[in-house]
Amino acid sequence: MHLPPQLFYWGAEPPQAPPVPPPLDTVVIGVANEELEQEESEHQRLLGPANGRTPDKPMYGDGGDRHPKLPKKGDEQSVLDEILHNTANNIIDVAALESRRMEQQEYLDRARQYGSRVNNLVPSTSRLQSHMLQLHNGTSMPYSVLAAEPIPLHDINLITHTAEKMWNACEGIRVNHKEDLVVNFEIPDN
Amino acid sequence: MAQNVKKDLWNLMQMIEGLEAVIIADRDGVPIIKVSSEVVPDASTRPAFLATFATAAGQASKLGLSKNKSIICSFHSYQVVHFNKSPVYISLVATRDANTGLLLGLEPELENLVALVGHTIQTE
Repeated sequence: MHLPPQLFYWGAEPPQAPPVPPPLDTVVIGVANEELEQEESEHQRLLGPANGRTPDKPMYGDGGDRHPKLPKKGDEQSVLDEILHNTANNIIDVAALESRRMEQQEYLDRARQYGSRVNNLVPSTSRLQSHMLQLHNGTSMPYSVLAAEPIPLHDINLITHTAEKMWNACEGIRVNHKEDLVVNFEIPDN
Repeated sequence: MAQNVKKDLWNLMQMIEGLEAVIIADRDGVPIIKVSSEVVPDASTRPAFLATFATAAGQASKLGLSKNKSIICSFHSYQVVHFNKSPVYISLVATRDANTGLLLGLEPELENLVALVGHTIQTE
């Protein structure tokens, strides 16, 4: 079985440095295959860096690195703050919420401020565009009208045919010109 | 502008039978735009009541069902439909017999207005 060389990772270090165990995001395949082609990709990792991390930085712990890095105090504090922040965002604790009561004056001031901002925000010609179909204002209770008994089909056909006949009749109206509409009267001078 | 918007909101309220108030408020319950009829109970328009929904929406968003969009509160005589358009919150107060589906259908109607009004909060 021939495996492409880029899928195989030796994890071996140059002879000058002592061997370093591979990071946790790589897998060492111990397959003895004479057909494997060892190119310069023998140090290539199986998995690319995830989430933009550098390949040398392990995801979980230091992976038994022979050079354990002592975290700086500043990093510790920032990590702790991040953990606390994430926990506070994810935990549901209604009792811990502070019920901040606004003072009457603050409430009025803020309401007045909002009112002035809304007035200045959009010109007075702007209207609320409704996407809902507007019913005609012929009735104050459209639901009762729409929920009433439907019109009988016979009546609908009668209306339709009558309207069609009237339309055809109107189409046949012709003006038969016989006399001029404007007639000049000859009024005597005396 | 506010008067025209209130008039349009009033017309919108007339289209839904039973809808008595439309309140757009901030996180603390301070009303930005409020249109209400005379029969609306005064307690439903107070900041303490309106701010409760903002808190509840924030907590409900942590239930693992993604961000909370709306909350429907049914009472004996009234029903209140809240929409979470953070930093702005919409509250619709209606009678118990009002069509809740129609109230929920008002959300796209108020989308543009809310996007515009939301700037008043963000510019603070």
